[in-house]
Amino acid sequence: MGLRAILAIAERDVRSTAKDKMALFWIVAFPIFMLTMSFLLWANPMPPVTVKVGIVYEDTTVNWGNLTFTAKNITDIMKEVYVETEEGKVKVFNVVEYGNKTDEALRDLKAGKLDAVVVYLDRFSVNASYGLSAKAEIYVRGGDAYTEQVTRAVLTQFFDELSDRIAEARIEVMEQNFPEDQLPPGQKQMIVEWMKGLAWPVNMTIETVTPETLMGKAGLRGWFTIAMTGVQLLMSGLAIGATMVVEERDRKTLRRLMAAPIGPWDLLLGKTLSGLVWLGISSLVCIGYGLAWGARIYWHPLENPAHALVPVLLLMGGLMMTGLGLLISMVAKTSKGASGLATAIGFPLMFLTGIWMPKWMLPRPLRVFANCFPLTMIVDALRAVMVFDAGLEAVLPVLPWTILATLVFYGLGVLAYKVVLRRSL
Amino acid sequence: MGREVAVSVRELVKEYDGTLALRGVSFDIYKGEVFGLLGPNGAGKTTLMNILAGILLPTSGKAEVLGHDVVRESRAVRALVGFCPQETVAYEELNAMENMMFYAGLYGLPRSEAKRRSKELLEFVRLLDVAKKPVREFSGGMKRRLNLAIALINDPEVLLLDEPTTGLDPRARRDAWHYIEGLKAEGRTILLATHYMEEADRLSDRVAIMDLGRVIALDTPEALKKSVGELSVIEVHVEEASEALKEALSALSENGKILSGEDYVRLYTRDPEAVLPKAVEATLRAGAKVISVSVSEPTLEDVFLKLTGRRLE
Repeated sequence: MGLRAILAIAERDVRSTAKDKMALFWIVAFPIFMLTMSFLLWANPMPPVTVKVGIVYEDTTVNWGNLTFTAKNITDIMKEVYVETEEGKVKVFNVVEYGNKTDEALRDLKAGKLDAVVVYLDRFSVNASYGLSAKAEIYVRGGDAYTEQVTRAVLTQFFDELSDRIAEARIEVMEQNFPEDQLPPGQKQMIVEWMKGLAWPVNMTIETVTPETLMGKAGLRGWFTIAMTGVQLLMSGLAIGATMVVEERDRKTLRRLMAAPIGPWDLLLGKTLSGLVWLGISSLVCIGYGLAWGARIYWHPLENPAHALVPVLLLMGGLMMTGLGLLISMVAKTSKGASGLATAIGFPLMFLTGIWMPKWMLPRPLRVFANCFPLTMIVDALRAVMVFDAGLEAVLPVLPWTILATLVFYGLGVLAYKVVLRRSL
Repeated sequence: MGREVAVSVRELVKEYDGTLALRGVSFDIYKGEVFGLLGPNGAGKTTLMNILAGILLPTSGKAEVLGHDVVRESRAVRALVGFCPQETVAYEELNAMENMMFYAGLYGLPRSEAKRRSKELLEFVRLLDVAKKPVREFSGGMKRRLNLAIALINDPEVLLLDEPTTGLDPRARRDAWHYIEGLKAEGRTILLATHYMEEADRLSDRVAIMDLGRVIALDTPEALKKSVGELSVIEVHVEEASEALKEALSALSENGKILSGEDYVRLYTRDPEAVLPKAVEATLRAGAKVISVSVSEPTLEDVFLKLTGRRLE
């Protein structure tokens, strides 16, 4: 093996690629285009749901003037419930009042015009104000499990919260009106606590905790940035391997190359080196562009040793896919055919291996395949380290398997390369 | 004779999928000699070149270049030989200088040496002025000149030129001949494969005529031409050489053998003075319009015709 020859082959290949507009499109423009689309279309947190609710008052006491809580008051509160998002405040309820026309409201619910109907039953307002049980009925539109669950959860949460507030107010009123002088010392506080126990036998609070890195757009953009890096390793790696020998054969330069004092390994290593240079450039383009859009990408190898393994993971991904591409070249007759075949194989793999689409979106058998696909393991490890700032625990478990897979894929690729080279001369 | 052998080929056989491309070829090429390999397409010239360039392995037989076995010492042979195939070997998107530097790298030349040598060679083939131009903008002749410069990048003692002028116009071909003569003057050993008999005749010290994987004759061009015998060639140029004309002239030719094209017929005779008027008369009787008639000595093409009964195409 001659280092000078290997470097000459790599340099020539890098120069030729730099002058090939189509190659530059796939290496630079394609990831930029895909990332832009992803950032604009998909890298946004799920927007909050606005529930369209029909309100019906079968409550004849709704308009009594001296009540503390009326159904109308509750409707007014519903209209003012907002949730804070990065884009600003979003209304939780879109309220439509139906007076006392229950049938009309239910007809609209069935017609899909509403998500739910709340019917305040008779004497709701007076019972709520005088400490009795105020009854309401809620009808939720079925058919779509997701919408039904969300609507049910939002309304339940709202009325639970409302009940809590009414209970608190009632206990406060009673506390103020206790004849304190007729009770033994400390008895009043005991009664108040007992009443709270009656109102809230289980006092539970719920808090939503989102992983810090996935909070907001930055985390999602980081996720897509690493996904695009994986796609480049997949698509460009396959194309580099598939066209390695066939392209020289098509150009009719292969015989002349092999008439120089170089061996098959020199050509293979020179071409692989050039491919890795372009994969590295493509990865940097992805990460740089992601960072420019505010993607959250961590890179501090001196503090987190897992970050020092990122180049190793990228190298393994590149070699693995180049090896797979070399196998493809065995059945390709021309470089155009080889490149087309690499795209035809790479494109579905991009979706089916969980590299571009999240694995949870895949059907179960494909999820098993994705979990076993070595490049997916590499991309998952890259995401864990670079987006979630995980440590070595995210990389070390997959390292033996990915090293083995790299050796097997590239090894098979070398065998295929030798066959194709022999056939081409 | 004591001449030093540069290339030695002994009983070389090459078989591709049951087809014999070479059927026991043997010859020696002496140092400083231009050795022509003349033969039609499919004669086995390119296969022989590829074996001597270390690209292909022979099925059997032996070949040595400058004392190195082409099979066992393939890499050493490739380092010593300059190979110029018939196809353009330059990368069209790169410029001439980038191509030269690339090939220099393959031969392990240090960068500064590669640069100096590339400049020298581009100047030799008159491409230094366009060294920074992409090769895709070059004419066919310029590309062939660049091929030649690339073949010389390792300053080879032995040069293998495979059909170096195929597809070139007459002027570009004459240019290429000029460069080959220059290389011969430098004392390089050149193996020149061609199917142009004028090229082999003009450039070669000795010519091996190949047909169907065999060397069927090997000598100096003059000796080969003499082998046709003491025959002269009468060439009749007409507007259109009809079958009737060919038949009539064949009757006048020695052994009935003629060589013909669309607008000419060549016949052979020991007595040109007597046959010439008869040939003109026969041509006119055949209804052909005579453009010119000439008497000349035999060419290598006539040698090939004599040996194989076929034209060299």
